[in-house]
Amino acid sequence: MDTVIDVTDLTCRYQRVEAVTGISFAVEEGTVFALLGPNGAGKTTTIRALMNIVRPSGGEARVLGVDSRRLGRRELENIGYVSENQQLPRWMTLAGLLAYCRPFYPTWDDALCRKLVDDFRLPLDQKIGRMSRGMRVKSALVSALAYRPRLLVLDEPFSGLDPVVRDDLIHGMLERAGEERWSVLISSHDLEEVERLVDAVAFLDSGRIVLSEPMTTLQGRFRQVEVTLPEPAPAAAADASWIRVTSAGRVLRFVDTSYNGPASDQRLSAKFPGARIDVQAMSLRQIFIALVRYRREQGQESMQ
Amino acid sequence: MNQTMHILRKDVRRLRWLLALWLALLAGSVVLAANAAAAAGASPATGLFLQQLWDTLEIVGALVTALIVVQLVHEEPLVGFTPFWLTRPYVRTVLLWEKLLVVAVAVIALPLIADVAMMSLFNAGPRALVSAGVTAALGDAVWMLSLMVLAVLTRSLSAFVLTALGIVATLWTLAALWSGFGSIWTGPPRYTPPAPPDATAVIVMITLYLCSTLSVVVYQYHHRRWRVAAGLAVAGLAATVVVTTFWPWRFARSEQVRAGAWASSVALAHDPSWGTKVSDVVNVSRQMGERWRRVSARYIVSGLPPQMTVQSTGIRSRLQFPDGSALESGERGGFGWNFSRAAAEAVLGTRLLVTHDFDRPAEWSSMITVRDRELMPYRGRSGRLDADIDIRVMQMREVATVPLMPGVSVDRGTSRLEISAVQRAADSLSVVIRRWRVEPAFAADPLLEQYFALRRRSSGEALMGGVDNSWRLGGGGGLIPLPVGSGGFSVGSLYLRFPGPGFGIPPDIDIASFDDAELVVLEVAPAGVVTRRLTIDPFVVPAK
Repeated sequence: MDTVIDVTDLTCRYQRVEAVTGISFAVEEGTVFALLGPNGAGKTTTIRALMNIVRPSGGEARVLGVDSRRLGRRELENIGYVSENQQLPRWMTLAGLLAYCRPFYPTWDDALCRKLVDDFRLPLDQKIGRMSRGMRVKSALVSALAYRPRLLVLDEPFSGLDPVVRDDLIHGMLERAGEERWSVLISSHDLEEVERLVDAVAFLDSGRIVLSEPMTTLQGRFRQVEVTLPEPAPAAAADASWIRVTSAGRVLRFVDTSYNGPASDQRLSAKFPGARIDVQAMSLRQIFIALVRYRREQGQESMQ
Repeated sequence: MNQTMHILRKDVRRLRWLLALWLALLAGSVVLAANAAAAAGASPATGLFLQQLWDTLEIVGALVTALIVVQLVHEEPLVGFTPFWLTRPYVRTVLLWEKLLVVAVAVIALPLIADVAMMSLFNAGPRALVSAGVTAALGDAVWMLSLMVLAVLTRSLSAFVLTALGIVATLWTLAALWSGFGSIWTGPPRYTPPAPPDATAVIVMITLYLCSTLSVVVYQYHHRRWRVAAGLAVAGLAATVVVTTFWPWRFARSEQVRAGAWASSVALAHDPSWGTKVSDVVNVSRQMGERWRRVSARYIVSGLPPQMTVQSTGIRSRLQFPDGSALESGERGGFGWNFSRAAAEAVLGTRLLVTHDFDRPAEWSSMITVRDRELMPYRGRSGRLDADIDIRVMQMREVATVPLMPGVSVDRGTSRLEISAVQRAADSLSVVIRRWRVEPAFAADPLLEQYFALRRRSSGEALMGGVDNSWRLGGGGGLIPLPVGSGGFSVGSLYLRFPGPGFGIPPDIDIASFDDAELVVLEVAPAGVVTRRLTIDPFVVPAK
């Protein structure tokens, strides 16, 4: 499988602030890769560096095999980019915008374009400047999907949209990407929506990658564990793979980051004899929150 | 080319209303000029109304072109992270050329076409067309690139306006500070011998300015790095000023007008009857405690041909005292050009019917100027003064003579005078002259002052004309005037009255006798510089 994005030790600095510090990850062709992280984690900066909107101050990012600083006409003909803040020409109607974009892309597909416009229920004759935010994002998506880009880069595309519009977008975009085997890099807070479509994720926090791995292994190894002991027990020694360890009376709760099925179950039973052990799979959202809170606690402890 | 045309079509569609307004303004200016051609003989009020309309059109035109450039560049802004075009397969070089092309057509070519159309209405020849075209194109290019630099460094119209206001305020403050400090720290009066007219500085300045602004635009389109581009703009502006100031190679210097054989008869003589006097030099530095004193005497210039007169002088002098000490200074003396009755009569070859004699009153001439503390030890003492005095001489000459009748014209390549109307009253005669002229962009020579006379050879008499009224369209050097010595094409009317009020009206004049007179156009031009040494010994520095 080819790599469409390959980031190595990427650093981006705005004057004295280091927004992204030495991050590395790769996006394989035909996969949906999510870049997750709290506000200010460096997701947007990373995507801007990939799209040659900002200049990296160190490291390298290769997009479709080309250094991001040298992205040219040929590469951009194969990349669809949509951002929450993207400024479309407000004076154009949607029909005008699509007609203007069309000649830039040799692979523009009129039939697909019409279908997307119909699916999103967009008015072709309305000026972009008079559209609602949701309609503008949909318009941007149509203009970015109609040429079947090899790589789709989406920076917080669902931010501030109502649930119906989000659902429209997810169905119209990510599912189509899955069907057509487009490669997608998406940064989003809407973890529940993207969870079922994402093949791999990278967690960013304070400009650094916390983890980067395929969804299957990530969801396989994270478990929320609740141990109910027969009687209040002194604090048991926690495993190195446990995070967010809390105890209240006879109940001990933690997140196991290295769960591996029956072997882990046996190990827990041996560690807590006679206890009732409840092991639950975690959603992407739960994993994300657990990791962010764990890192914040770690940060506070190290500061103390 | 396809992408260029594709973006161009989009931009033209976007700017269609502004472009239409701009075209309407240009068409309006041509119509106005056509009316001006027709209104040349009409009342001055009509002409002045046309002039006001023209000035309004120029201001509105400048604003419209600014809007065109800003909106065009901001269609694909070069500042910020969110513009739509950044992630689209634009070729940046293509985008740059497309923007330059649209701006060049809208801001340079269209006004040029309007200028040519306008000048054709006045039967301007190819020489005038080329000269005015170059002037207007350069002025418009300076304007266009200045706007483009600001536009590529901003992302919205409001940011553009605020930046422009900030720059104007900064430059205004710097100029005020420079001028203020310059006044306070005024050094000793200095005199440098007259240099021939020189257009080098203007050429260097415009070339550097155009290159530096263009480089900012090109850099920003290719690299989109605001700080570097802004630094480049500031450095370019500074380099333009510094290099122009210290540019050594004067490649566009005109020939100095050399004094003719007449110079040998020019003499300079000291008038001892006036003695010497000390006076204060008034300048701001005096307020700061630095006091300068001037010691003056009187000298007389003689031997000038009658059609010539002294325009100004420059003096470099040394006052040597018996103990070997000396004072030295150099200073430009002020005479200034005044109308000379004798010169006019000499050129016209007739008696001038005027009541004013225009004789310059005898006056003191500064011989040496030094600080008060330097002069103090020499108060009441005398020494020998040796002064080299440059005398800049102007001469009046006859440019053209035409019969006094409507339709008669004088064509001089880049200027033309035409008598539009002749109106006779009981005690005066009015002549309306329509004139156009072209001031070239790199004109080294200043415009020459003109006078008009009615000459009646049969009686050997002439009358000087005075300008009752005048109006003019254009002459601003295109949309924006170039920094030095340029005006481009201008057209207007002069309303002359004979005898001119400024020359005094003889009481017993018979104006009807001038019906068969001819109109003479006189011009005052440099005749050369004559240098003479003046020695005054003893030269007494007054005690008080």
